Amino acid sequence: MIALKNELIKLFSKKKYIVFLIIALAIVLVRFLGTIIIGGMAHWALNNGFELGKGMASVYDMVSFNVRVFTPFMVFLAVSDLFPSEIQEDTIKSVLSQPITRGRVLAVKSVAVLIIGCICYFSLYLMCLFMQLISGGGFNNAFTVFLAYVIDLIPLMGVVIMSVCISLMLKGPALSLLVSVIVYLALTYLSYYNGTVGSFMFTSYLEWHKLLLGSTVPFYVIVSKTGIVAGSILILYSISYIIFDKMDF
Amino acid sequence: MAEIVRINAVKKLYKNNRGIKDITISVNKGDVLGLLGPNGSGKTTIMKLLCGLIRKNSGELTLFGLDAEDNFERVMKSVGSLIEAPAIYKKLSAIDNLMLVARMHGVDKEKALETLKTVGLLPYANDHAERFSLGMKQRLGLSMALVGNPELVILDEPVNGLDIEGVVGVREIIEEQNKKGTTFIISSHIASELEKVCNRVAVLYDGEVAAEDTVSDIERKYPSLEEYFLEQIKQKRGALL
Repeated sequence: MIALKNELIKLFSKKKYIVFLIIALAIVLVRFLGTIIIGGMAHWALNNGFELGKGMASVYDMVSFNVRVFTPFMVFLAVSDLFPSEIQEDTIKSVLSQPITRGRVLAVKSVAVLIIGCICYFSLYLMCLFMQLISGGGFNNAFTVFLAYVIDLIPLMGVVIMSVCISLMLKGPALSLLVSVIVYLALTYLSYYNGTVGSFMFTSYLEWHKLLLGSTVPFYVIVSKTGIVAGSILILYSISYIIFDKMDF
Repeated sequence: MAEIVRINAVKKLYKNNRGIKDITISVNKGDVLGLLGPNGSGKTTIMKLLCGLIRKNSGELTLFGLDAEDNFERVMKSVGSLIEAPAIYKKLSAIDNLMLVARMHGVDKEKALETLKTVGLLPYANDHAERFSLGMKQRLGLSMALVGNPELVILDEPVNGLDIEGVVGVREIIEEQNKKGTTFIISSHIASELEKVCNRVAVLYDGEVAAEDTVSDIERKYPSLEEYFLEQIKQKRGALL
């Protein structure tokens, strides 16, 4: 827990996470204001009187943006700060020469990145919920969407470990960030174009929430794929551990 | 005297075939061992091995009587280190940097502030480390090595970038801690500095121990540690030619 606290202190000392979070929240705000205003105008056109709230914002609207775009980007950023950046700046020495094994260092840093992912998920969720409330939608679907985010944390672990693995193979934070984004995009689009290959990729399951939100993916299929996601995470984590354990600093 | 460090026939070669070839050194409790050697002789490699920053190829490495790799967490609770440039997070203040290490050793903020006072950085405790001069960073690095009350302190070029006052300050800290029973392993290019604080010196050359002696013996036989060092290097070079 102490080591985890240290990693989080290091991450939050960098203002860019707050800046990106504010930008994402601003995107949510603009999107919902747009919905509210356009809906209101449509209603005005019909009834000849503007009435705010007739274009209702929904807590579900921004889930895909959050799960597919924003949070993975923040995760890649955090990984590049905690691994290649520390290696390049030599600050990793102060972690590795403490009474903590490399295995634990790897685990703690990965969990710190996952916490950043959680913060992103739930900050945007709360913002969306707030917008839904002020647009008159009440708490409709609030709990369901919350559960959807919780479920999406499982494949997000895969994204974190994939990025950790990539960052340990490359030198430099910028390269690590770039390659993580490229690999993530490649895996995502591969699952769109080739269903067979895609079914083995954890990135295909980043939108597990759809199962709770009444979309096309049946529940039993998702359950059966849990093993694939867990297996991917385990393999990538093992590779990361082997590389990290053998590294000279 | 209890043996704190035992490096037995340890070999660590990097990809470029440099490193240490076959080193055997032991350090007893209360010793201040100086590692002296030209660039690339293996001083930093030994220190990194002791801190777990690199892995040995072969040999035996024990700290406090325990295998250093198998009991890493246990032995590192009693080790403080400053290897090469101090590992400092620029975006954090001096005290926040120090607390990253202090927390790992179960040390509270009050004690951490005391350590900052010892190295003369208390007035800058809340300043961001990115604004620090090289000497101030070095002193912060030294405080990070000392904050956990370690039994063994490993210092690689501790007076790098320090002004005369800073150099004297570091020497006083080492002497004071050593009186309390702390063991030191120190490397430096400055022979005169090692002569003032060390009780034993090992001269490294080309990844091997060229000579090892107590400072009192060296002072009896040679005009200075510098002369001793140059003589050992000359002999080693001659033997290799």
